[in-house]
Amino acid sequence: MTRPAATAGKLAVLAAFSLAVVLVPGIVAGGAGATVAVAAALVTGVPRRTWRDAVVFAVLVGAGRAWSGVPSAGVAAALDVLALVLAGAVLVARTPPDELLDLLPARLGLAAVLMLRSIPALAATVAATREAARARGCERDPRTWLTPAAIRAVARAHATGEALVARGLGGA
Amino acid sequence: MIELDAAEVTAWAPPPGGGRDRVVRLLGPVTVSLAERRVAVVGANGSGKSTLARLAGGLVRPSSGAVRVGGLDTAREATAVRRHVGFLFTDPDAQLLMPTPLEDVVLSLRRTTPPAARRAAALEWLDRFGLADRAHVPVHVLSGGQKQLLALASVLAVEPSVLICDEPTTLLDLRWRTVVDEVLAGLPQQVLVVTHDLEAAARAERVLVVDAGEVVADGPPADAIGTYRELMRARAVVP
Repeated sequence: MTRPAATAGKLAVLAAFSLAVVLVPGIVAGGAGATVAVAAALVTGVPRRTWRDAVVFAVLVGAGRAWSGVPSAGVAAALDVLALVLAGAVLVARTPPDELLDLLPARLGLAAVLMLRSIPALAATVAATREAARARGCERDPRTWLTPAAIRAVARAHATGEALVARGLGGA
Repeated sequence: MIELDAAEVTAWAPPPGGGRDRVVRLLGPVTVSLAERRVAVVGANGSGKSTLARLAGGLVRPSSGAVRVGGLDTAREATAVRRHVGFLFTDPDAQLLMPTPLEDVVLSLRRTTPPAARRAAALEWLDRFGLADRAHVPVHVLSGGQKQLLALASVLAVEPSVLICDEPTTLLDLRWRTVVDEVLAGLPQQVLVVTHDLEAAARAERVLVVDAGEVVADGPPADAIGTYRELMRARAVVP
């Protein structure tokens, strides 16, 4: 099988898996999806940092969902997110971004690659902002770091857009 | 050759006392023709020097007037300008877009190099900057200096004729500042550097001093830097 065909196959598997995770609701389905993704991530050697980010992201989404009043929905959401993020990480770990960019429409491919790259960057932004709040003794109040972290994330997105333009990859 | 012809940059912003947004002038009008191979821009924080660099690099369009790089108008021929101008940012983390050094240089080469040749060409560029052995490591594990060298490799991989650098060494320690300065000094391209490092500015052929959105001095390094020092000495009032 040629490399583009192999990459297309991986993308198709990821799409089918993601659709199944999203369309089949419930803790059992979420747990099954997460188990498959965790096993694949263990086999492919997804970096430790990605594991941490995936778990943190899943817990945040799950907590947000549970906060709305249905704890079981929060658990299901966390499992779904864990499955989706790890499945995406497996694809990235096994496929050079350049091959993804060649296969997908240019803007879609670039958006996908940038989104995946932004996960550790976003985690670093949140960590730096929390550290700043901790240095001033106010890390227990999430308002002291959530808002600055959101503003920094937007600033980073702006800088990324400028970097894309500078490389001739975005709109002028 | 970089030419600014009565170029001005404005933005909507609230006035200092609050109230509704109004048009404020960030820079200009500036009229200069920069033909020297090494040009430095110095100025206080917020003076407009980065806006000048972005304007010259086509990242910001003039609100009025015109900017041309190599004869190309940055407003009307933006895509062509992008092929001629490389832009190096202060913070390489904002510039590096891919997970590994090799992939980041490959991303740049998508514009100029056939797919089959990209990885070998990217490795060659990394080798030139002493980063070949770091080609496959995650970008976030590189040191600040290595990241800036990688950003420079990614910019130069498409061989721009003009390189614009916005405080490229501000975040670096002395060792990496020296490395980046020496790499920039050895480039064949015209290089315009915005910097707070007056030693680096003194090595340029021409220095512009920007203050409150205007070019207040323009000439040989000794004269322009002298003017800048006097200006800052007069402003340095401890609160």
